[in-house]
Amino acid sequence: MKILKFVLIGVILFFIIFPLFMMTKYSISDRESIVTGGEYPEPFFPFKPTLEMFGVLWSRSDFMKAGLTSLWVGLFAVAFSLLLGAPTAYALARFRIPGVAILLFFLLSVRLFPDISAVIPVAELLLSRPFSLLPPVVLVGLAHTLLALPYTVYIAKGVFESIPRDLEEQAFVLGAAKSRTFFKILTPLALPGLGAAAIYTFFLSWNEFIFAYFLTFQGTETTLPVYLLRILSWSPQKNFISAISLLICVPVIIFTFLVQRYMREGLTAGAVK
Amino acid sequence: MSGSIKPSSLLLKLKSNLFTIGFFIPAFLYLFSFFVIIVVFLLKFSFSGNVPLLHLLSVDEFKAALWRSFWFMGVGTPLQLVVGLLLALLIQQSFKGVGMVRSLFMIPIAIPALVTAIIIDLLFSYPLGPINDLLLGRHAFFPQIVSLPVNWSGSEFLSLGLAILGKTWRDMPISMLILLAGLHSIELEQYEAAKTMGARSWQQFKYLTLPLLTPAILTILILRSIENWKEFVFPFVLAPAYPLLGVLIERLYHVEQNPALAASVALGLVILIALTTLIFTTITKMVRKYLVRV
Amino acid sequence: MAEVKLKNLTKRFKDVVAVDNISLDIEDGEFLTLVGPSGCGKSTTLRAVAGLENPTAGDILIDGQRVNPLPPQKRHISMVFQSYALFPHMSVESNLAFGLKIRKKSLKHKSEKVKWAIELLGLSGFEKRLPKELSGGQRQRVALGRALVLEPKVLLLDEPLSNLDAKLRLRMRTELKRLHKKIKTTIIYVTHDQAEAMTLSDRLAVMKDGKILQVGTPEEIYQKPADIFCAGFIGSPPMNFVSGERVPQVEDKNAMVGIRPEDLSISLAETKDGIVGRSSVTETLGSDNYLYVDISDLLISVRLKPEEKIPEDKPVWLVARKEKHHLFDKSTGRRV
Repeated sequence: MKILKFVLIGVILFFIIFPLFMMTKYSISDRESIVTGGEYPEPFFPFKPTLEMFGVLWSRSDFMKAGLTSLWVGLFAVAFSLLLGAPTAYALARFRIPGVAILLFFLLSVRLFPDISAVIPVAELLLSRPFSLLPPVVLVGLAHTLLALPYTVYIAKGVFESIPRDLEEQAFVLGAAKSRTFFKILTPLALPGLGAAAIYTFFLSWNEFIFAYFLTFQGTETTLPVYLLRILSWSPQKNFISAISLLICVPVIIFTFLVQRYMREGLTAGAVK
Repeated sequence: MSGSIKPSSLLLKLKSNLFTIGFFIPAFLYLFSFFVIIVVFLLKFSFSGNVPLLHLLSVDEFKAALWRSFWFMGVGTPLQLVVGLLLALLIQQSFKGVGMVRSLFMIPIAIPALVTAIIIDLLFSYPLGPINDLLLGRHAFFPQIVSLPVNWSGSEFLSLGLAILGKTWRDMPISMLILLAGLHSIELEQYEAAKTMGARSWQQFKYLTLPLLTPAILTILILRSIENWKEFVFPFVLAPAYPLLGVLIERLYHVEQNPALAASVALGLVILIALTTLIFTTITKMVRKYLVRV
Repeated sequence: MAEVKLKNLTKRFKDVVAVDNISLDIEDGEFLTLVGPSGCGKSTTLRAVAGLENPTAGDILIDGQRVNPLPPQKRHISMVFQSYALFPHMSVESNLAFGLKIRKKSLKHKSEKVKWAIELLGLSGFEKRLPKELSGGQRQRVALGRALVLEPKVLLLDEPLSNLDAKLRLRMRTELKRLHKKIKTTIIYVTHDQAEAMTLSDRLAVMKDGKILQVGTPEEIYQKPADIFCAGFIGSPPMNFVSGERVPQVEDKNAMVGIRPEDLSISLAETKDGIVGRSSVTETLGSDNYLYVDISDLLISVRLKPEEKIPEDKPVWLVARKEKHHLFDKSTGRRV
């Protein structure tokens, strides 16, 4: 029974790792390991591993530009959704708002639409004047804010709820105004939790494809996933595609591991209160 | 509340409410206006001109896509449930290194869907690719299964199968986490009590685990069926020749430049999802009622 | 019904010795309580008897039969857990019938037994309820009933009352005692609450750090504690301990002297052989009043007679009859 369990775990781990291994393998493959001409099977490890592809990417301006675009879109989405979301979360966590259930429904309702359905109206709106005058980074950033905002509010609400009310009441008794209390006392305390929301938003934006694809359909400025899709149409070699894929994945994998631990710490710290 | 409020306290109240409103409004307004825009646009397009929404069922492309999406949902949902359950059961009990295994099981969700789809496309490439190499028996360790390379993307069955495979691979941690939470909500003492009363492993599974897991299972069925109905990226990359509803929307919008029809299909998809959710919720309620009777 | 014997039972978890070579004979129909602070190994002992833990060494005998290799269901035991472990998706009836169903008992037997338990525990009218629709006391009774319908030879109870509020706990204590009188099953009961242990048990075994320090009837342990720990653990407020050199009546100046609060008499005038102290606060509990007396660095509790009133911050003299002194060896803690 126990052996069966560990065999199964092994098999599943193989299926999880195998595609990622192949991606990594391709990204460091030399030409002979990819272009086989059907004379021999593709090797499971390149004949002559090389980091050449990463050098090629480093010197390609279109790739670097897409990378920077992704970065800026992500940062824009983080900044904008925190700016909008944190105060709302605070209001929801602290004040009794009449009809709050209905408001919450509307807050989340936008996410009830499938992305592929919602993207048509959003694209129609943002790609027409006056919005179309904004740079693509801002347009995609606005769309990603739309996607991330409900989650930001949700996470931040939990963060504010975990901060004892006494602190605010103490500040109030000491004569601090509400806005001052929010910015000087609560925000610093909430920062680690909001950091989790920020990381979540950034990687949602970094991974997002549909909205970025529709909003940058015609321009040259686009995010990494859309760039990856576009170069597919030139039928490039597997090592080129894989190197880009790998570079997109690595930061997300690293941060998923980091945030996992971070969030667990945050959760236990919240439980102690 | 006291009956008479002094003017000064009234002012104070208003001031504090203004503060609340001022805090609450920005995000709310942002999301709400997009909500209105999406609804208005979808309705406007769907009911413009000759009311494309009502003619959808006479469009062959739509019927074919609807049928494919239905199968995608019908096969993908139970498959994802079973895989999630398997993963959750494997790491339910703690053992040395369980944290590491759980973290590794979480990896797929970190990989962008588009990248996953493209890797699968590379693995299953035609005529030369690692999977075809394997099936043709070109590696010494694997028996030959086919004599000619398989053209995955040329077959409706195989390409949509790959799309389901990709979707299942990437989303398995989500189902796993929900089921794991369900499993962990069953207390160890409940199992021990069953044990002292003589229940064997499979009886514990049948009488405790499964019924107590039912809410989590139903949640997954609802969430997954929605997710599968609206899937876009995997079929878009892996089965472009056989569009699902999502892919059809993109094609109508970009290739055929027909936003009205695209919006109609988009609205149709929303309606389908709403209906599915309704049906599953009803079933859920019935199953819960039945469970209470047990 | 059965007798239970533990022979040199040891349970080790990695480096921690949870149960350290204990031996105990429990008689047929006896209500025996394992009592001690948390982490003393009492629950582990109980779980070993249940078959939920495998002993590292030693034997467990039920009715003369060595049960070590047997799974829980073959040991003729039933167990009630601290959290009750009721199955949340099953009604009271289904919970009660679960063990019988697993044992493939006939429908008739099942419904008879369930009916018996429902009547015994006063649960009629609640048969169809789910656990979450019951009060704490009712849940507790269902858990008890679920164990009893299996007609166990030994009933194992792991802190069954600790999840109840104080008032209910007292009531369930009485109910449990009455129940035991009625069904006469051997019961092994685990608790950290000394008052519970004292009121319920025929005999109790005081445990600490995996060892049994003393086994005896409540009276024996109260009146003749074998160990300084047992002396301090049993009784509330706890026994006072004073070093021998400060008590004039005691010859062995190296012993620790233990005196219960009710054995001390107090006087505002100087008394022969009395220990002088300063009166501090009085705790009024209604029937009993306790005065705390400062004697240099120690705080001694004294039970006052109902009519007795001692003003605060006055010199007082404390004395106890010599036969009420409990003497303990300072280094080993054993009674001398």
